[in-house]
Amino acid sequence: MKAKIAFLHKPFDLRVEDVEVPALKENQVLVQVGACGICGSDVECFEGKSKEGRYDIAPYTPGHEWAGASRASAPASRRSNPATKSRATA
Amino acid sequence: MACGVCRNCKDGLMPSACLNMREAGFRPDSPGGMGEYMVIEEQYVHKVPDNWTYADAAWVETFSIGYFGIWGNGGYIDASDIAIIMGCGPVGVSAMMTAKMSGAKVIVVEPFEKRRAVAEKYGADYVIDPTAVDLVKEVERITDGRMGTVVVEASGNNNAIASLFDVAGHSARVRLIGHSIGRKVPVEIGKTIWRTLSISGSGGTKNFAQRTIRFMSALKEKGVDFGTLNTHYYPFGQIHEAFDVACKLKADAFKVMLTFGVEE
Repeated sequence: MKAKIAFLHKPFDLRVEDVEVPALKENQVLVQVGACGICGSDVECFEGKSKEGRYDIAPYTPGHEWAGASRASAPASRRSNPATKSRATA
Repeated sequence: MACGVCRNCKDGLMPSACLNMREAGFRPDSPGGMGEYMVIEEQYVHKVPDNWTYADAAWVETFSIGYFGIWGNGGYIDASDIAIIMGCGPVGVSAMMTAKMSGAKVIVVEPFEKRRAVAEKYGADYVIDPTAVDLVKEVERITDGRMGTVVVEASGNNNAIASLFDVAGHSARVRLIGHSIGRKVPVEIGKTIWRTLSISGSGGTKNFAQRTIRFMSALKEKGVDFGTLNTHYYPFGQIHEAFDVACKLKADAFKVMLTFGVEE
């Protein structure tokens, strides 16, 4: 499955790319993102003012204020909750 | 996102101490949520009530920072406390709501007018513009000289950090949240001794999300609307415009929220 996902390559270089979503590994879930806030620390990383965003091993997908719907889990995962229709955040 | 097997993890230290730490949204090995789909370990996924919007749920991480800043690692607050919150950004307003909901009297210190308005709207008892008045005298006046018993730094601003030591009362708990890493800030550290201050900070927890969801639910039951904290909404396709606003309108853009058109 392909999806549009944003990648930060370097400061001020944010690209939305159409990429293959990685296959789920054990204990991972696939989340369809419903909302994602832009944090002050995202701005600091975007502007190259923070070392928290790891440009040395970039590109990476920003966004730690996300929420969405859990759509699938890896077959081998042990789950305590239903995999679908649960809004999720972390 | 701690590995669980390194020396520090096995020692029970905070996830931020992990020697192999990943961090969702900051590294290629732990992608964040600025995309239509994301893959993440289930241990970091938490169910929220069905009547929440996705934008509400996107506030859980932010709120948890302010909430944990006060209540994490043995912190506490109650109706006997006078809380002073330095900075009313998204984390500051979360700390402010935490303090208020916990029964404390809350003073918010914030130089930007629009953010002082947010503080007032979301329940601050007093708001102070530190650029317009003598901050210490104003806190003395409001508290009848007692000063703050819980002082939360949620701005990262040098002046705010320095003034912590002036507005903290005797035996106050001083909780540091705002980013100032990489800067040395002159402070009157001796007041830590004279006033027997307890100063603490904490970076990264993974066990506060469920509790945060319950606390936010309690706030929502009291009528708190997290949606109105989002001053700007942009569909994901306009992410560049969204970042432009977040970068250039820092005082006005309280929270910029990306949306993805997923049915609520």
